[in-house]
Amino acid sequence: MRQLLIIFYLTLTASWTFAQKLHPDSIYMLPDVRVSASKIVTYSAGQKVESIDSTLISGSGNVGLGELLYRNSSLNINRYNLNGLNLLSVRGTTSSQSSVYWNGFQLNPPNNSLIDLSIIPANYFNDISILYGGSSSLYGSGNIGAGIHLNNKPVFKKLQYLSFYNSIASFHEYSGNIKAIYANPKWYFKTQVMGRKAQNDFRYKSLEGEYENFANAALRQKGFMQDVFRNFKGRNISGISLWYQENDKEIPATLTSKPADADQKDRSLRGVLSSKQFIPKGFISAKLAVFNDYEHYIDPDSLQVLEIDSEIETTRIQGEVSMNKQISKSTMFDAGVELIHLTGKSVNYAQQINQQQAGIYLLISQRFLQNKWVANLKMRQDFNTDFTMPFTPSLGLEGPVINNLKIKATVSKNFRIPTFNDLYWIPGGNSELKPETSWNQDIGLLYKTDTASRIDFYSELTAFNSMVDDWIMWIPDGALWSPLNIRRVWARGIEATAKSNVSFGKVKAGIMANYTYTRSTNEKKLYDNDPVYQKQLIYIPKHRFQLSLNLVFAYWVVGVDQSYTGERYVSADNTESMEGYLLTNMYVQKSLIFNNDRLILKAEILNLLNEEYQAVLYYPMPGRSYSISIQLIIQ
Amino acid sequence: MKNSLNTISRLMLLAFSMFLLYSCAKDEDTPPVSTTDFSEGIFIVNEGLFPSGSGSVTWFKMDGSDRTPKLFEKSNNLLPLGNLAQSMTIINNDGFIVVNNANIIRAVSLKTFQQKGAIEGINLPRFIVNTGDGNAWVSSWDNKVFVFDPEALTVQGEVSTGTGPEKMMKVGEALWVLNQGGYSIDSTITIIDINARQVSQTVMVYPKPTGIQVDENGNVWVMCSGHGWNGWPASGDSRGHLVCIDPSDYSILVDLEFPETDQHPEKLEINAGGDELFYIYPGGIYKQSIASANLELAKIMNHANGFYSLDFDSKNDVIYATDAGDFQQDGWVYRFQTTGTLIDSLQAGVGPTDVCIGN
Repeated sequence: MRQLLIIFYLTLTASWTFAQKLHPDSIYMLPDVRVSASKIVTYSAGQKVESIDSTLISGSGNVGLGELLYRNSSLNINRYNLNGLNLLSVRGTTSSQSSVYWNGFQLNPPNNSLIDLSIIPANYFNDISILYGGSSSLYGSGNIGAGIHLNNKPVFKKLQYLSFYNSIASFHEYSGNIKAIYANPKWYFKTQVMGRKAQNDFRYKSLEGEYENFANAALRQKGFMQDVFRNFKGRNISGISLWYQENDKEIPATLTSKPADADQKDRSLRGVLSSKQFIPKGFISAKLAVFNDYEHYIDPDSLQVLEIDSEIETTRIQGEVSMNKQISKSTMFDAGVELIHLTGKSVNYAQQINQQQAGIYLLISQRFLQNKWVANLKMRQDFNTDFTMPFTPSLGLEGPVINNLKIKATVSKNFRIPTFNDLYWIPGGNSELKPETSWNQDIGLLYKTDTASRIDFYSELTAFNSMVDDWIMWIPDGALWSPLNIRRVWARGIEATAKSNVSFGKVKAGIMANYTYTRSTNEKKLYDNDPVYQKQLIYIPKHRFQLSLNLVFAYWVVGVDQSYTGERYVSADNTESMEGYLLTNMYVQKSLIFNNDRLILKAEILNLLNEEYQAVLYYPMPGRSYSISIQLIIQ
Repeated sequence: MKNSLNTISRLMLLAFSMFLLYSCAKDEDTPPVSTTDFSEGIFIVNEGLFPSGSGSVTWFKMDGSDRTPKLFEKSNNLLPLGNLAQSMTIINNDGFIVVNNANIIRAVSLKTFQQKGAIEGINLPRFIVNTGDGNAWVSSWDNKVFVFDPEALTVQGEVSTGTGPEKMMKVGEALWVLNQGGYSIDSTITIIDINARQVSQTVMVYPKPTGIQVDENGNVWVMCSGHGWNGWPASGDSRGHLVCIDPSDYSILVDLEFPETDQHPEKLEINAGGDELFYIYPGGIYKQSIASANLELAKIMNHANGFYSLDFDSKNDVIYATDAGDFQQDGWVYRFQTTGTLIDSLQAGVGPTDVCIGN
């Protein structure tokens, strides 16, 4: 064990290779296809899939997923303040139109479908992939903008790994985690514990121009994740993943409102049980997930009638059985059934909400032209006790045009069902709502150098287009706000990505650049001279740019990343907007090697240029700040 | 190798130039100080973008020309008014703007609209009434009304009320405070002796009183909206009532009941003559003669979206009604004659909620 002085993330990349070698007899390997992989890998031909570099994930300490993605992908994330609500907004859609999955199950709670990326520690997972565009044919409701897939994948090889991480950052942030892995060809155990505490009392400029310390913004987080997997001689892999997370977040005031005293306490307990039985040329997968989310919001600030004390509890119980099989040298299919039971309890609902859902799907992957081209035909029909659900087909195609240049294209039907709040909130809930539906099209070009070439270069250019109908919005009628299927939104744009790894003698350089242009406009006139007609949706920047560079030499790493978020409109008629902002971060990391153990020291400067900015109107953000961390890895 | 270096250096250059570009583009242009005298005009108080935006004041000349949006910001070095502007009241030559969710009352010179000072710390303030004795009163969702000196901007005292006090009116030497209910419901009017600064009477009416006026006979009319939401029936809903109260003994002289439990009347204004009442009811503006023994339900103006607030210019006998839209874009203020004939419409800011007529 001790001689395995390899970086943790390398073991994870190795797990892929290992997975492929696991069943050399039972599976006929197609070029480039990992038969044991999840459906996102096998059945996403034609779509843009971005994997977050595993070194970035493992080196992210206790940083929230929102921060990691904001700095390292083209995703637009609306960050309400430091460690505040982080909401996704991908390809011109709203946060509830994209979903986050853990081991294949949706984390978005059914009450509001919103997932706060700031309180999901990114380094819990060893695989983070973003499936851009619509993916309802794979995952059902809530996949109009994108899906973010977080996975815990086991490795069945001899491995003992123990890591202790601690960091101190500006604004009284203290954070730590412990990670332990024990694995052998039969078993895989991984235990993770995290804790994080921050005052977030950064200095900001009040509207009157005075510098003050940000108040009531503290965060306390505790989390635990456990994976246990068993490999039965390569014929079956079964396991359980458990995740408990507790967050206590103070809800700060905005610049324009009175001092706040509100606080939100959340806890989530999630478990996924999975079993994959390998059969000749395929596998049968059975999974069961039980998620329970509890949210408690308290605003004691005011007296009697003004006190808000609101509890919401939601549960998801979901079972899934599927079979993936290769039926010829060039054809593979996956057929599956999902059953979902959702419940919701809140004082704002008349009674406990129960909703049953089911989904059946058939995914076909066909290779042709010497197996170089892949076409995916996906069909899915969902059922729900509350609505008629649309049939969601999808067709994707990709293949090489010349040499290393690949073309991708996809067209898909997608949808999102209304949330419990949309349907049942008292007052205002509208049980007559229909699901939002969309048609999405993507076309892309991908250039990748041969793996053997000295310079590793990857570039992808994608144009996307989608039309979302029956878009749900809460509209006031006097003092009563009610949701209606009122808008039609046309979202389109361009995404450009380039990544390269180059060596200059002993120095290795990695560079990544992303640019996104997004137009997302209202296409339905609600009345003559509707000032919102053909106007850009609020908080969707037309331009977003992200760049990162890192240099590795000896045991040093130096990295710089920059992200620019362009002007965003804050009023629906586009008369008011917020200016763009550029954030620059920089870090230096040094690894010290003691026999087989390592000590990693990292110092980071965030918002290096001390940009004064707001991401969301009147929510101040901090200027330059610092963090240092130390990680001890024993192997 | 050389090629890739070129690519990288080009990318770096692009990033650097973008940085420069955006660093340069950041200078804010401070507007020149206006020479306009704003005191003769219309001040529209706009709540602001929901949920975190800042309120604003849109100014118009009386004839509807010469619009100045964001008047407060422009006159005060771009200082935003604050979250959820609620109302504006003129006392002498000053304007008092109540910014509800910022716990602030800003006092401005009406002429220049520059801030003279502010009263801070009153929790969720709502409306102001000038009692003409050198004092003014402000209602607060802390279930209190506060008396303050509008010159010195100092709070002089407080009186406890019912739940969620909102609109108030000076009737004789008393202050009538409508207890609308805040997040819950109340059905009372707190009557305060403004000299003694204490409650003299609590009058029971119907749930959710939202408007108060004094008619030509000196009687007090109160609009009780009733419990519930328009078009969203639920258990516990109650009908609206328009009641007329004799201020000498608080007896109810007239009690007009509305027909539906899920259609609620709101607000109350009265014409200059003091004999015709106006209120908002689903679908538009309705009127009621004070002499009529029955509820007339006479619609004078149709507006499908519904109006958010109602005000009256008694100098010119003009009704002002606001359409706040979806609080995500500029709303509108409509001006009507008392017959319901539309005079014109004025483009307000986001979420117009109160109209204040200048001197």
